[in-house]
Amino acid sequence: MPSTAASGADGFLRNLPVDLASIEEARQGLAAYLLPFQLGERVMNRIEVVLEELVSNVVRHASAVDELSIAAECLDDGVHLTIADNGTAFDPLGAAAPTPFSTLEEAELGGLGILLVKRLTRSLDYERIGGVNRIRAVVATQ
Amino acid sequence: MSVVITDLSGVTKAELAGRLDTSNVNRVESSFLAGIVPKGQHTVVDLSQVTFIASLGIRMLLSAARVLSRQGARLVMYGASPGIMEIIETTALSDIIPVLPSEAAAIAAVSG
Repeated sequence: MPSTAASGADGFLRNLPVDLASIEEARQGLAAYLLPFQLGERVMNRIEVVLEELVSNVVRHASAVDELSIAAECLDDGVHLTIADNGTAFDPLGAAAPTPFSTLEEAELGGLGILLVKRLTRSLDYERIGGVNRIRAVVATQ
Repeated sequence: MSVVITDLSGVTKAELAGRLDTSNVNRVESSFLAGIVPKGQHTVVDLSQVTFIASLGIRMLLSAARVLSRQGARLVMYGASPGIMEIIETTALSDIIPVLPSEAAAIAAVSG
């Protein structure tokens, strides 16, 4: 599917191919949309990490997927991100959190992405509607 | 994204530069690990030119530290910017891999 773009008063929206290059395209587009809001380096970094993890999850792990969309809007309580895909139903937020560790040998290599997303967001939810997986994340801007 | 591996009198130095995102980690992980693991030496990782890190970058560093640890060698990092440091601390990576302020402090930490 070719990428399409929209932004303006209604926020930011990209429909992107399901491949790794879409992560960078989404990041650059979102950064351009958020530029006028002057959110600061720390907030922008958190937003970029959350975007990276959520889109990377779809691109690397979703099955039977050929549509990916990324929407964002900057509101009073934060930047609202919505990542949607039409792959097989999958709730990445339902996975068990990695076990806390105190040594290199104990540390789990998996699950770090969702852990980051959970800790960097003000709110996070998953829903399956009309054959679409949709994750909504809010990153605080204050 | 670039990886430069050098030897500082028996300590391996790995300089990472650029974004440690999904695409770049896929690209550089094998050369990063191949550059430091076979040496089996204490290793310092320069993060001062890293502008972004996400979970796959964290996983790459964790993997390297773990493999070196099994060989009796330590890996420490230094030079992380505040944004990089926040992500390292959020994943608790900094609890098991020390992050030092400078190259000198990093070398002292692995040599002590």
